[in-house]
Amino acid sequence: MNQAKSTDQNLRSTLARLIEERALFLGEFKGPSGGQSDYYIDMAMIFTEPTGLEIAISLTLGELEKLDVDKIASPSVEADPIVAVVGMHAKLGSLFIHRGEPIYAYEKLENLLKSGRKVAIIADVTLSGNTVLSAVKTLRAAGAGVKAAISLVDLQKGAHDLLESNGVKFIPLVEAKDITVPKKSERP
Amino acid sequence: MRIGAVKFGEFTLSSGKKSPYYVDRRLAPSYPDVLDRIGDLYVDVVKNEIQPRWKIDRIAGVPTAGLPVATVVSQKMRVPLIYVRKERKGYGLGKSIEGVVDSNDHILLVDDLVTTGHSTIEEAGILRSVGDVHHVVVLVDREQGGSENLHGAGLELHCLVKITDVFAYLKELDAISPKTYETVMEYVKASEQTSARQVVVASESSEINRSEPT
Repeated sequence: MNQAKSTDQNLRSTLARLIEERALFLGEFKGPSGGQSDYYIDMAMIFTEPTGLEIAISLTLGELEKLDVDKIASPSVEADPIVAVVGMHAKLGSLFIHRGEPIYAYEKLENLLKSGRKVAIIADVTLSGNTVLSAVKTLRAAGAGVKAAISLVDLQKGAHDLLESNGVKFIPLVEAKDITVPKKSERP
Repeated sequence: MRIGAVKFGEFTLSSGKKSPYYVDRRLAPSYPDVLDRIGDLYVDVVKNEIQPRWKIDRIAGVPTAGLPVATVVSQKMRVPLIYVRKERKGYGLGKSIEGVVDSNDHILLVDDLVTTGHSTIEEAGILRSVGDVHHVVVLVDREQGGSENLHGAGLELHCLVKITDVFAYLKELDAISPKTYETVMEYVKASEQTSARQVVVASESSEINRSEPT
C-alpha cells in the first residue's frame, strides 16, 4: 500500500471516529424521505468544527483530484458549508441546488455552467439518494454533465444503486458499515 | 463586480420593496478566487476592527446566501461555526441552531449584506438566546439605515464595502452610465431618509426589549 493510500485510509477512519463521537445521535428519527431510523448522523457537527472540517476537506479534495470536473454542486443546505470551502481550495466554482431547486434569483444555472459543464455533486449524508438525484436532474436539464457524486457518509439505504443506475459514479467516503452504532439493547 | 454580482434594472427585494439595483450575493462561490479573496478581506476586518477589543468564540452564518462565506471565514480563522435555521427541517434533530455553542460564548455574526438591518437584528435575536452578540460583519452595506438600526439594537456593523463606493468605482471605470449612477445614488439617499424615521421606531422597541427581565 502506498503512502497516499494509507493516509487516505487513516483520514477515513478518523472521520468515522469523529462522526461516532460528535455527529451520531441515538433515538427514533424520521428521515427526509419519511423512513424511520434508530440513529441519526448530523454532519453539521463535523463541518462546524475546525478539525472535522479540515478532515472532510482533505478527503473530498483527494477524491475530486481523481475526477475530471470543473464545477461542484451542493444538493442541500446541509452540504453548502463543505461545498463552498472545497470549491475554494480546489479552485472549482460551486453551485447550490437545494432539493432540486437552484438558489439563484437572477442568474440562470445555464449561464453559471458556461465556464464548464462537468459537475460533481458533494453530499453531506446519503440515504436513498433521492435528494442527490433531484440535483442531478436539475443540473442535467441545464446542460451539465454530472459525472459523480461524493458522499461524506453513505448510510447504505439505496443511494449507490439509484445513482449508479442513473449514470452517476457514486463515491462514499465513509459508509454505515464503518460506523459503530450501539445496539438498542446496549444503549443506556 | 467582475462577476456581474451587482446588477442594474428593476428588482424586487426580499422585503417586497423595489430597487434599481441588486447585489447577487449568491454568485461569489461560483468563482473560487473571488470567494477566497472575499474571505481574506473578512478576516482582515475581523482581525483589525473586532478581535483587538472582543474575543470571538463562534462565527455565525446565515443560510442560504450567507452560509458559504461564513464557512470560509470560520475555516480561515479556525473558529467554530454555528448557523441559524430559519425553517427547521421536518426530520432528523429539528434543531434551530446547528453546531455547538456554550452559554456566554461570544458570537460574531457574519453575513453577506445589510439593507435596513431588520433581518440581521432578527438573526442576532435568535443567537442572543444562546450567547453574546455585539458585532456584525458584512460584505456590502447597502446604506439604507442598516448601520443605525443595528446600533439601536446594540449591534456594531462592520462592512467590507459601502454600496455608494461600489457605484462610484463602477462609474469611474465607465462600467455604468452617469444616468444609472444618478438613479441608484438617488435611490440610496431616498431610502436612507425613509429609514431614518424607522430608526426612531427601532431604537424605541429595542429599549423596551432591553428593559424586559432576561
